[in-house]
Amino acid sequence: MSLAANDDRTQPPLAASDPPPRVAADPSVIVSYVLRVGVFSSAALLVVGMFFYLISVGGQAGDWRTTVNDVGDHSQLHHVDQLLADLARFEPLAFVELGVIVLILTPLLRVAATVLIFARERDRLYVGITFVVLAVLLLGWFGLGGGGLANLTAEPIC
Amino acid sequence: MTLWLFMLIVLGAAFTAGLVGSLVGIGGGILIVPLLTTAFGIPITYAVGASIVCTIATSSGAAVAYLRDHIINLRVAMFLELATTIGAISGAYLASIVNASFLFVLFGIVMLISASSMIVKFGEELPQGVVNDSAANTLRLASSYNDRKLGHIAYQVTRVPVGFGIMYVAGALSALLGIGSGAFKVLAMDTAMRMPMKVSSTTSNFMIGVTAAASAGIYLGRGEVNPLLVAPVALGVLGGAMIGSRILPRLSNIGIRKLFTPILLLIAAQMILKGLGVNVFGS
Repeated sequence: MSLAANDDRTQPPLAASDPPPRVAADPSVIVSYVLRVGVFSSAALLVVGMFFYLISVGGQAGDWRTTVNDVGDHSQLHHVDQLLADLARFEPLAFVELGVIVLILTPLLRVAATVLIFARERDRLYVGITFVVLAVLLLGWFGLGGGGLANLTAEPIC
Repeated sequence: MTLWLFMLIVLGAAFTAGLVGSLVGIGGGILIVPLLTTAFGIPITYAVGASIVCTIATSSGAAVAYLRDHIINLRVAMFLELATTIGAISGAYLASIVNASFLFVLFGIVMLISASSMIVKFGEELPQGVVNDSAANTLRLASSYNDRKLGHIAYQVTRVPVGFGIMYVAGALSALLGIGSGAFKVLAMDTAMRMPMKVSSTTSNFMIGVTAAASAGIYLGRGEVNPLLVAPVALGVLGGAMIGSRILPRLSNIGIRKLFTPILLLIAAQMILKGLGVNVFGS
């Protein structure tokens, strides 16, 4: 079976009702599924967080500008410890922040899934290509002191 | 204005950005950033953070359906992503020695010229007489997709080195100028490599999220991602992109090209004006 190419497929593209066996055999569909899990978890966290946040501020939400700037100034996205503590206290905005992080991780997730699928297909050339892409991405996040998640526990730059 | 109304407006604008972006293969930041900075006076750092999240949401929200429907060419995406990521690294190193204004004007003009080549091809539903070049054969890039209107479409891929070169430049530009490189990605695949428009826009859609993710961590680390801004942007864009990805299979390649061309002109105009120091859109 060829990856990414679907020369051997003639059925309509809609796969919503496909039985699990075919899903398991089809690389694109597996990456699609992995991505869907990431997207829906992120959306769920965002919806729940925003819902409880807006309920909690309720009628006393004044001018939007003050509120948005205030939240921006106190954003915990760059402090993992603080984020975990806020999640434990069911702080609504912490769930929003976690949702954003999950969303930002979905592209990495999809490249990682693609590496595994090419590997399963024993497609060495594309395992190599995709692995380099993944490595560069991870380097951008964790390596070379170039910022990214490496800075998450440090003091914010600005 | 109350917080609720603000959220609703941002949500609506983000929905539109996700819808349009998912159809033509761009990130939608071009629609979100001007709204946030010009209309609402949001600081540019927060707006750019929101724009990056917008690109990732467009990409991930739509790619779910595009992958399942086998429109995306995964090999082309990964091979070209190699060029984009290497380009992005070079761009980061070049940032201190190049003149950004000059690049904005130069590549704005390149886009204008590309738009004219798009207009020439306005009536072309599928590229005709494309034959694999040797790189496409070695890399097994030729593929096929199921078109709801045209049936099973097998296509070949040509001028792969040119496409790879454009992607390298696109990656460098996104690092240098902070512009989304979706438009250049679509152009590389449609105009240089002569892939079908739907395959070009969906494959670009898959790639822009990966490119944006490379720099997203930096914005996150700097605290430039404001949850109250990003949440309505992400949710609106995800909704728009999911609906857009269901609409795309029903459109013709000509229809998508007609939607893409004016957006290309808009981006070109924005780049040239910015290069000349006219800051119309605030970014």
